[in-house]
This record gives sequence, structure tokens and C-alpha cells, in this order.
Amino acid sequence: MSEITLKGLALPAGIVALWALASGLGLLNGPMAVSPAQVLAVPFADPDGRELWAGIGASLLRLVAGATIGGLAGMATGLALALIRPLGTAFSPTINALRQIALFAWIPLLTSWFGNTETAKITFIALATFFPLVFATEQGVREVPASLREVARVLNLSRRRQISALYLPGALPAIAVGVQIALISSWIGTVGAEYAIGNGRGLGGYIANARDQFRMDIAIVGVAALALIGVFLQAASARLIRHLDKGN
Amino acid sequence: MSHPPILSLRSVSKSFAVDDTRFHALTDVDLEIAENEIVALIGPSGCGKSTLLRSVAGLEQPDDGSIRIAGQPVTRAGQESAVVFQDHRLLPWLSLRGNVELALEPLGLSATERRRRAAACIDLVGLTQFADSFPRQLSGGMAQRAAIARALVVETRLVLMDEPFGALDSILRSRMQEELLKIWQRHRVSILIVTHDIEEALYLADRVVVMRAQPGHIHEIVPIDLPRPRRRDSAAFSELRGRLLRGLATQDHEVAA
Ligand SMILES: Nc1ncnc2c1ncn2[C@@H]1O[C@H](COP(=O)(O)OP(=O)(O)OP(=O)(O)O)[C@@H](O)[C@H]1O
Ligand SMILES: [Mg+2]
Repeated sequence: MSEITLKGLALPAGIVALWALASGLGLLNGPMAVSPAQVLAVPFADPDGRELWAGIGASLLRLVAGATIGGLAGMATGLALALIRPLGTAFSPTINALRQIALFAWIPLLTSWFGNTETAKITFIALATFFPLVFATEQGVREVPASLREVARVLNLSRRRQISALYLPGALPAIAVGVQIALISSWIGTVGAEYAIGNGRGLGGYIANARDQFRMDIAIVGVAALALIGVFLQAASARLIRHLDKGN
Repeated sequence: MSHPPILSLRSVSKSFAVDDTRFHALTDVDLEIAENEIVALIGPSGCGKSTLLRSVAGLEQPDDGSIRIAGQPVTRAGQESAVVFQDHRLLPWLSLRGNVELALEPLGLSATERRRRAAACIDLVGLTQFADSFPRQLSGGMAQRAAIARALVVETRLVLMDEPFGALDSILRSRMQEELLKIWQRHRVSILIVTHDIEEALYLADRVVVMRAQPGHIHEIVPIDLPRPRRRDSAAFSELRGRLLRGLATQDHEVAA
């Protein structure tokens, strides 16, 4: 694992070294040319750059809010599609079609419905989480073995207990994979929504401001933060999945 | 049979659609089981033993005839009966105790009462030490005993078992047969048990139902009037074994002919 991390770091480290060399030799010129040292100072010393931390905090809060709403709605929808046959036949194709819409194509729709508001952003993040979880949950529930369904029936379990004791735990590994996919798409969705919709705090807004003020150093810091947090979320959910697999 | 039967099947038939034709798994099955009786079902593979048991459990809907448990027509799964399947079918994400307690939930008992009854039943099958283990940590035989505890804990008057000991080695199998008889003597339940094993049928049952295939039907019902505990090496035991073997074997000639 650490070996893989080290190998993964080799290429970015090489690029940074070349970049440092180039700016040290004065090969980079103009307002867009910044040195690695300048960029490193941005999150701590620069008055505009220091906004990074508040931006990350705001983005993560937004991610949690939107992903929770979308995730719970997605799981409930997936469960209903898998367990209530007429619902499944009626709605699965529609939801499948909606899922084909590229995520960012929702932004013009959402902003025309909700304006450039927080509601539009949260709804967008919720959508980014919703679709992966609908399908993960629906598939996971459908794959609960018929033998165990029969057990639930002969034990006279109530519908509610069938869901909480059989279908959800049975679908959990599939749901965890759905969460992993959803986390990445909703994190990108969060920053994308902030960037596109503007106004309000957040990492996306931070990058958009840097663009507007031609601050290359701040933009680089913002993009690096976006990527690092994405990698972290991916690793955390992979760990969760390994933990679940061990449990079963 | 002075009491009304706990289970009665009247001309029960069941067929399955197989490639545009109907396959008759059961035709015209009549059977009664008295209170506190043990009845074993034997017969060649595919003769409809599981189908019969699953119909009583409410997992299959017969095309024809009636099935009553304690006088009530069977209309849904798990009505007045508990089932032990051939595979243990424990929920993998619940501990042994959790699996047994789950069976008690529909009874509306308090949590303490559930815990007490589950613990008593787990003790009965000798798994107290493993109550907090998960199914994957249990051996096949232990998991099967846990499944038996899950079926017995609800204390239904009728217990249905489909080759419950089929997966066990012969030593564990005969120990489980003895344990089952102990439980039966203590709880006064009625048991309908499917088995491939003639000796098992003879050791456990008050009556042995011999079934035949194509179409699945009851060929004969053999009363086993041997006192318990039964000795597998007694003359009466081997005579009955011979009779059942012949009952099963004749069919092969018929099929071959
Ligand atoms: N759902 C089903 N669809 C089609 N055919 C079925 C179905 N269930 C059972 N059958 C058929 O009905 C017949 C009886 O099956 P059943 O499982 O009751 O036999 P069995 O006596 O329990 O056999 P075994 O001893 O092998 O368990 C078999 O030929 C089987 O193929
Ligand atoms: Mg069978």
C-alpha cells in the first residue's frame, strides 16, 4: 500500500521539481507564471488565499447536506423499485434514462427553477448522489437470495423487519460500492455547482474568484485541494468497503 | 387419532409449468398427522417430498385440494408451522442469538422474554458457548443446529423439516436424531420430516410415508410400532428396513420396465 502511494507520488513530484527548476531559472514569465514556493504560501500567508480553509469547510458541509438527502432518497427509491414490482416496471426505465443526462446538464435547469441559490446547489449535489444509490440499492436488494426471502416469509417477519433485517443488510455490500461512486460524483458535483452557480462560500467559489482576479497561484491551490479531498474520500470509502467485506 | 389432526391434506395436487407442459409434482395426496406424531417422508429424488413440505409451509400454492393446520386452511407462509430447510439459511449478518431472537419478533414479546426464550433454545441444541458467534464462524453441523433452534423457539405445534441432517456426518447425524427426540418428548410437537435415509425414518417416525415419482404420489404409509428408544440392530428394525427398501426398490423396476 505504501509502495503504491510512493509510486503514485513519483510523477507529481517530478513535475513539481521541473516546475521549481523552471521558475528558479527564470524560464517562466508573465502574470500567469508562479513558483511552487509562492503557491505553498497561498493557503497561509495570502489574505485572499487564506479563504481556502473556510471554503473547504463550506464545501464539505454542503456535500454532507446534499449527499445525505440524495443518498437517503436514492436508497428509498432503489428499495421501492426492487420490492414493489409495478413501481419497478413503471419507473426503472425512466430513472435509467434520467441517469443518462450528464450531471452538469442539470445546472441550467436547476438554476432556472431555483435561481442562483443554495437550494439549487444542494439539489444538484443530491442528484449527483441519488442516481448511483438508486441503482446500487435496487441491484443489491434484487440479489438477496430467494432462500433467505423464504426464511423471512416463514418467520412471519413484518414488511418493515424484512427490510431492516433482510433486504438492507443483504444489499449493504452493493450499497457501499454505490456510496463510493456517489461520493466522488457528489464531491465533483459540489465544487462544480459552486463554481458554476457562484456566490456563497465554498471551494468552487474560491477557484472562481481566483479566475476572476487572474490569481494563478490561488487557482492552483484550489484545484489541488479539490483533488486531494477527492482522493481522500475515495480512500475512505474503499476502506469502508474492505471493512464490510471482512464482516461477511 | 381421537384428537383432531394437527395437519390434514386432502387430495392435494401441484404441478409446475415446464416448457409449455405441466409437470405433476404431486397428485391426489391425502395425509393426516396427529398431535405429537412424527411422520417421515421418504422416496426417490424428484418424487415431490420437498414440494409437499413447502406446500404445508405455505411456500407453494397447491393447484387443487386442501391443506389445513389445526383445522385452519393454509393461506400464507409460516402459518402455525416452523420450517427447517436442508441448508441452514441463517442470516449471515446476525449472530446465532440474533437469528433465533428474530424468529420471536412477530410474537410481540418483551425484549427480556425474547432473550430468555432464545437462550433456552440455544442451550437445548448445545450451542450456548456460541450464542454470539456469526454463522460463518460455525461449522455446518452447528449452523444446522442453530437453524433447528430458530424453528423450535417459536413453539409452533407443527415443525416441518426438509432433510435437516442431510449435510451432517453419520456420527453427528445420529446424535442430532437423539436430540430431536428429546426435544420432541419435552415439547410435545408434531414433526413432518423429509429424509433420504431409511434408518433415520425408522429411528424417528411413528409412521413412514413412502412416496413415488411420475407423478409424485403416496405409495404406502408404514406404521412403525417399535418402542423408543429404538435399537438399530434389533430384528424388528431390520425387518421394517427390508420392507421399506422393497417399497422403494419396486418402483425402479416399474420405471425400468
Ligand atoms: N419451482 C419449480 N418449477 C418447476 N419444477 C419444479 C419446481 N419445484 C419442483 N419442481 C419439480 O417437481 C419435482 C419434485 O420436486 P421436489 O423438490 O419436491 O422433489 P424431492 O422429492 O424433494 O426430491 P429430492 O429428494 O431430490 O429433494 C421435481 O421433478 C422438480 O423438478
Ligand atoms: Mg427435496
